[in-house]
Amino acid sequence: MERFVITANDLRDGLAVYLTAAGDWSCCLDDARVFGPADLADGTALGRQAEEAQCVVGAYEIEVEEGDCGLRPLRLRERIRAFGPSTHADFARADVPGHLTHADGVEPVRFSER
Amino acid sequence: MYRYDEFDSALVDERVAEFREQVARRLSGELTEEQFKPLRLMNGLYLQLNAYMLRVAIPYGVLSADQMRTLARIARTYDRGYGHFTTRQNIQFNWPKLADVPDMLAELAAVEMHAIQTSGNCIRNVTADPFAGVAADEIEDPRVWAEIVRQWSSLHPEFSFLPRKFKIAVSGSARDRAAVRFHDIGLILRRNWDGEVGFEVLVGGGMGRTPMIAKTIRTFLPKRHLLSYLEAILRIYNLMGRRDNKYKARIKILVHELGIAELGDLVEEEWLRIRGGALQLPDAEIARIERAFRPPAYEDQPAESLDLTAKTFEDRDFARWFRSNVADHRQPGHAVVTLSLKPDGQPPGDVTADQMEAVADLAERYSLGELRATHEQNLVFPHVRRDDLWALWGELAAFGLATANIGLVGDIIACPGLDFCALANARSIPVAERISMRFRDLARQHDIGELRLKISGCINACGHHHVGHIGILGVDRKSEEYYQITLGGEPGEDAAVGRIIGPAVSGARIVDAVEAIVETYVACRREGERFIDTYRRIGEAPFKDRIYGGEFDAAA
Amino acid sequence: MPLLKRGKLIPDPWTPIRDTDALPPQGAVIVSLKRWRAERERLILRGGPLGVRLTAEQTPGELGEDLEFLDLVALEFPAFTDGRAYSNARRLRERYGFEGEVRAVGDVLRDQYRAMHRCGFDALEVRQGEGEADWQRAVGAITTPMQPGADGAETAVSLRERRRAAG
Repeated sequence: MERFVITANDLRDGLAVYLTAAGDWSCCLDDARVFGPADLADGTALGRQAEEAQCVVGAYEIEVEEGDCGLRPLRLRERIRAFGPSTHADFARADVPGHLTHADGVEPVRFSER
Repeated sequence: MYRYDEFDSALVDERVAEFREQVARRLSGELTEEQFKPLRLMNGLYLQLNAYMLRVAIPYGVLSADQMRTLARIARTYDRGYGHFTTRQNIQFNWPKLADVPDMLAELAAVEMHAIQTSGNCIRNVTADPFAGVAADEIEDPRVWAEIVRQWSSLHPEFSFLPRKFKIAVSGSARDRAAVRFHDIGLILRRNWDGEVGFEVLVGGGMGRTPMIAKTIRTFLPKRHLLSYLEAILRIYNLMGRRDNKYKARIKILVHELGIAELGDLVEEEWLRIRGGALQLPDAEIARIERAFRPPAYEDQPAESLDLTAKTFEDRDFARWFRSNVADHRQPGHAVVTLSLKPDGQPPGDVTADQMEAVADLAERYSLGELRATHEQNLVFPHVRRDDLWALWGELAAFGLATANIGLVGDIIACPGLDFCALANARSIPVAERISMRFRDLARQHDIGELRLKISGCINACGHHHVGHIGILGVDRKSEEYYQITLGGEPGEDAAVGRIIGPAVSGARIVDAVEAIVETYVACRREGERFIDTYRRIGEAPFKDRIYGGEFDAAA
Repeated sequence: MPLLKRGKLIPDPWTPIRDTDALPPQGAVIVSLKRWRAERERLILRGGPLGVRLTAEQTPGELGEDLEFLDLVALEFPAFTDGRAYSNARRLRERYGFEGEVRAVGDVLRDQYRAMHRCGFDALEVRQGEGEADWQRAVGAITTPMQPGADGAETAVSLRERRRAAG
């Protein structure tokens, strides 16, 4: 069965946020309320309401699946929004396997080590 | 460099106050996103994939040490401790909070900086040759005119809602280090038969979905007529540019659809009615701005430095850096140094706050307090004594700013790509990093020689891949990252758009493909041929065959 | 719709007339360019103040010498992001020397008041709730412009020149 969450950008800091069961918005994808095809319309309506209330910008739905570390968006673009850029270890979740770029000798940059 | 007078300062201060009020109205909900978006774009504030992004203008790339220190402080105070230098001589902060942006702009205004018109459908940052004022082949310093155009275009009431963005670049020499032929308007300083200096004006260059080389609309324009002529072009574009399709809205499409001759006639007709008026600057005003760009009082130095010559024999690493990162200066005994922001395996163009502060100090000690940002995402120290080069190199190396790869395959230009940008189809930074690691052997890079590799994460081409000797374009194929390869692009006076050599290559194989292309060049080159020279001689077939000829599985 | 004329809220003395409406016998009327072309003699002979409303695609040049019969030209902003009317307003003022009312209609937002003013608009049909204070704040936000406009405001360049001349 397909699973969805509603995402947007927070108005104040622009960070990617996810609609929770409580009706507020969290930066952490695992806090997100999961919708199925049957109730997805409710989710998009809640997203629209939050946009109109001017607390988030650009709400839309994304498809997710259960991963090793909780919810995992299907699209790479949404994984980057959820887990951080794949290039900068300082700004990404360290616990998501395979998210940060480790290929051809590349290590994600850590500015604290520069 | 140009210093603000009270009018310039008032403009940026007042703009900050106005934007502060607009932000407050957005945060209170009085302004919707739709109403606020063009306003924030005109102050360079984007909303991207992960966060807001503020793009700060560095007019024609020139920065003072103090300005660099302020950028460091802003990075520390309001962002995550670093900044990113872009392909249009600007700097971007990737993690600002909306409510902090007015304060960031206020701190910038205090050091004569701003984010005005770094986005939006208006006239953007005017860029110029990063070696302006110090290049030996310069006819006149293009920064004088870049500054004049900057002021004229700032908050221009008629051109704030153009069909699309508008980019202007100025070159002061026949050798074009500003890629003027790929701008909406390119200005080239030229001498006419009478020895008078004026502008060749080109129109309709650009990257993106339909890369085009600008065409000459006027072969010679006397300098005093520059602003009225630009106003005529912009007015015709504002009225006639397409507004029905975002991808056909740049002036290059108007040039393509009308033809340069007809556009030229329309512009002349408008211009004849407005020339000679208030847009013709008084000589004293031009002189005031010219004075700001007078050469500094260089120390008298012998042309050659014995110390330098000795060090290039003693220290091979230094010699290598000297070969790739140091260019000749018009003033005897001096040199132009490029600081590489492309350390192996790291995001091109990223600089930490610590590095910015170090660069500011070094600029004061070694470059008369001045530095430049280049559109190839590096920094330049324009006024270095040859005697100081060895010491400077050591200090740069301590901060990771001395990778000896300028103009070489490790000096990769890359847009932020899917890791940061909402428009992207694919990531570009990891590809740049992987390629740079593959070629990190400097001896190999130097043997390969000049090779300009540019990567864009989508067809908007902010990585300028169209003008890369090797260009890489990220595409989304069946939700996977694939990369199209182009060859033979050139941004300068022998302008060329790169040609696609075959189907897109998978993310897994793109680095191998680039290496295969480089190896093909090395195998085929003649004495003294750069990559681009060999490509022009032998064509794309040998490279195509190597990638798509069967042995190499491009799609794996 | 409230009307800000030279920054003051005033009752609108003009009546917009649709192409299909009958012409009132007197009073100030604004008609489309299409109607103007179809009925110009009748409109001129009617004797009242005349105004023409141009769409974003139309230019004042299409009125040509007829401008001398007009007391008002209204320029449309179909969306506030469509900036063509700024150029047309300037042409009206600077190329054609039009001295009547140049009115902004359509998607007119207070954050664009200053640009409109500087391009020669002296009347703005604004949203409910917008008024003189908004206009003052918008127009006054930038003291010295960097480029000449149709408003005749002194620019930084001209002020610098004056200062030089004063010694």
